[in-house]
Amino acid sequence: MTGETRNRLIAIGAILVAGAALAWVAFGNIGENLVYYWKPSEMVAQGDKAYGATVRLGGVVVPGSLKWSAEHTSLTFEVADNHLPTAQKVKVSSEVTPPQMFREGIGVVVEGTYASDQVFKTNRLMVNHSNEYRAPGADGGMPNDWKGSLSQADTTK
Amino acid sequence: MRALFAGLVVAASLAFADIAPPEKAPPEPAPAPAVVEPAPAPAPAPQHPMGIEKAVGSGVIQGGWEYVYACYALAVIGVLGYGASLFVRRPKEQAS
Amino acid sequence: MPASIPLLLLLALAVMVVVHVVVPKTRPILWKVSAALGLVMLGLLMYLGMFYAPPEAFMSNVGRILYVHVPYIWMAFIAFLMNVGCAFAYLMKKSWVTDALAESSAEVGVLFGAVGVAMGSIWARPTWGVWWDWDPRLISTTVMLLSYVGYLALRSFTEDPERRATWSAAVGILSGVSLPITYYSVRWWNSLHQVQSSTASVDKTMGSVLLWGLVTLLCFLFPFIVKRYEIARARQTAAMELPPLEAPRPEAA
Repeated sequence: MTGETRNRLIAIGAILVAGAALAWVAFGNIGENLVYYWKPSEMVAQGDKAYGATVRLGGVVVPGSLKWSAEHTSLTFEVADNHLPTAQKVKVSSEVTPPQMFREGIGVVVEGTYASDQVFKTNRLMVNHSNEYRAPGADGGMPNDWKGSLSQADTTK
Repeated sequence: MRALFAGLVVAASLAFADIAPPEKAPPEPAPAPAVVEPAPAPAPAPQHPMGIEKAVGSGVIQGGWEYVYACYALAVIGVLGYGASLFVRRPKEQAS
Repeated sequence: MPASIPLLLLLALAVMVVVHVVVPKTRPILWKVSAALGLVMLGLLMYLGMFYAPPEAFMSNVGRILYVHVPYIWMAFIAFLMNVGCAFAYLMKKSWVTDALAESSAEVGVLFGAVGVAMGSIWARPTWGVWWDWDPRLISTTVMLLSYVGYLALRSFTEDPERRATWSAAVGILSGVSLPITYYSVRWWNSLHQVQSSTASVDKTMGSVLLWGLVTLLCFLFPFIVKRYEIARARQTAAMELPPLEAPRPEAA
């Protein structure tokens, strides 16, 4: 049957196109062109190119780095690639109210601009949740623990 | 028709005349201080944190039940609504 | 609640689906049994999800959205996978059955996907802090849903049943590309959406409630696809009964 053969050819053609598209997305360099956010190390590696443009920076809030300005209008904290002490860090200053889940050690994505003073100013602060779902206290640490260290840090001045 | 159009034009121009500030409007230095005023941050005492850090929560979401209710309602509506739409579209032979 | 309870129900549902396929006589009954079971389980899911399961350590009660968001999205994935399978099967061997099943599963998948994305957006507001952001997962999911909406639009605009079946099958296979991209988007690229959870990253009680939610929605997926399939079949039959617009092609040209 010619109809049947034609259909199989269509199937093979569609699968080839689909496979090629998938391979292009999976193994091509589309990931380098469509970057949702830069990690601190990636942003610092851009050098001067990173300054000025509106970009997203993602990483974890460095424990102990959360401070607020003396005028109580902005928060500053450091975002690191990961939890290792050697990780590249970038200072972030935010004037927006952070989501309730915001805390030290949590993953964040901030949108804003990086300036030559090495401070990333953001007006859109997003928090991401890990893939872990635990009952309170299941991981041993009280979620409120970090607040004690925060009050010690108090203001920048 | 033309009269209606003319009427519309007149009405529109009247409306714009109403919105547009009159030429002899006084200069508005009045709002200027109002803009300056919010600048002092709501920070009553530097020792006692009352500024932006108050907005920093405990790291745990408080409340938020309305989001939960909305999602569970969607879960029920999605299933029942689609079920109803399938019933409405059911083939005619089945109805008999 | 041990995970074995939803697993047993899942087994019962699987048996129902197999019997439905193998024994045609049972077809008028089994979808009703499944839908009824689904309704009971949905009622219980409201209790299990909102009250029985513990709050999440950081998301607190908002974390309860897990039990409806994830099952809805999973149903969309299962339905779209079925669509790809049927599209391929149709092109290999012409059959009105696989064509109708492809139409049915695409529509059901779009329903579950759209509602699941809406739930995700609601969930994102209190947790991420925004309703929406164009992260790779949300982009790829949007593309996936739109490609199946396009698939359905193509079907509704094509009159000739055979042409419709052939070309929508080709489009179905192409739309299927969006499935692995959407699934792996969180692993391939930096994204705001977390990667897939596993049994190790979810507390036991939460995991079994999630499983309960998945089985609940599977109980609806089955009758939805069956009933939507019947609508598609009826439309095919009606189209065949219509007098052809042009003279039928001669058998031996």
